Amino acid sequence: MNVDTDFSELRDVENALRRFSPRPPDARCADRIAAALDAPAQHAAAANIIPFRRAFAWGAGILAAAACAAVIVANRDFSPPPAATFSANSAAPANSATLAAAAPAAAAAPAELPDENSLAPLAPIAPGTSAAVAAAIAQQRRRVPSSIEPLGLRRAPDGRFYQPYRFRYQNNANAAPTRAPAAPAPAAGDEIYFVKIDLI
Amino acid sequence: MQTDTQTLRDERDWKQWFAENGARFLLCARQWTRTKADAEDVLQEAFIRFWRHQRHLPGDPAALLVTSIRRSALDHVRRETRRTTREQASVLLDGEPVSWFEPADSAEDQMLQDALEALPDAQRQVVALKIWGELTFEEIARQLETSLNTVASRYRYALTKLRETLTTAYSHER
Repeated sequence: MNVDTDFSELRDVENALRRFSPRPPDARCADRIAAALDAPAQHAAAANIIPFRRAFAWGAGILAAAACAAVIVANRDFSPPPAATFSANSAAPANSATLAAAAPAAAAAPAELPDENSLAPLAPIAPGTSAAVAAAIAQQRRRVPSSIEPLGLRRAPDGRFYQPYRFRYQNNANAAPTRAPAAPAPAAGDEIYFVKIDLI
Repeated sequence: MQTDTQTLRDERDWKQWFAENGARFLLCARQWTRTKADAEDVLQEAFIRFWRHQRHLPGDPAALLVTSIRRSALDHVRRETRRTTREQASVLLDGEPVSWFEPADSAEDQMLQDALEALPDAQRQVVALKIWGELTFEEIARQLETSLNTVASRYRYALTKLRETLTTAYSHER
């Protein structure tokens, strides 16, 4: 490092400056320092207070996170998912029967479709499946729901609650050209999905 | 006045060390504060922190303390700038100019202080830390977070300017 630190030509200025002595601090300043340094017990308490507060904050945060995790685990349903859908169609039974035969998941559904107000053959879609997903499943079957209507909460014999949604369908005109000519046309009518509700 | 960390081992030594060095550290603190009262608050805070936690660290204790003083002073300035205008006004009123040097209020003393205050902050800080803080250029460069070349240049400019100012002032005095 090439630094010119030779100030010999300015030495006289340096010496002139060194002749001046800075003013000492006020005596009260030393007294305040003495009061602070000569109080070891207070100092120890003051020094420990901040780590203690930090530990308390961290501990509270960890406990809260653990409690949240415990609640989530306790409410999670680890049982295997039941049959994918339950179809009940009182308005157009023929169409629903056609769809149930076409869909593998729906094949597990009972042949005799119950009234929509009956809970006997509850075969809800997978736990946690939302109405939006159910709508997507329906769309995969090349049907477009024209409306989704939530119905009254129902309780199954096993004690669980289910939220039924009535899906009203109309014919999907866009899907028609992709189907083979011999295939049946997309169905129209109603279908009810039961979504399991976990009550805490 | 270099001090070895070995001499600062004893808890009770602080009074003697502070009595010997307090003045130059106060002058260092004044480089970053507006008033003597602020500088004393900063010095007090920095010294307590230094004595409790830093005096056993390796290196020149004076340089460590000046680092602590600068940090405390910058914190102090930040706190001050958050205050309301009214509080700032009262601080300014309380902080009447006090001489940096002794014997206080002598003509020479005032002349030097005026000349130092006329310097740009960066140059004045280098002069104060070098002459009265007794720090090396390397230590000053670390303190001010700048290069060694910059520090040496500022020091040269400051001394040249001080020579001109003081020469003119002395000639007028005579």
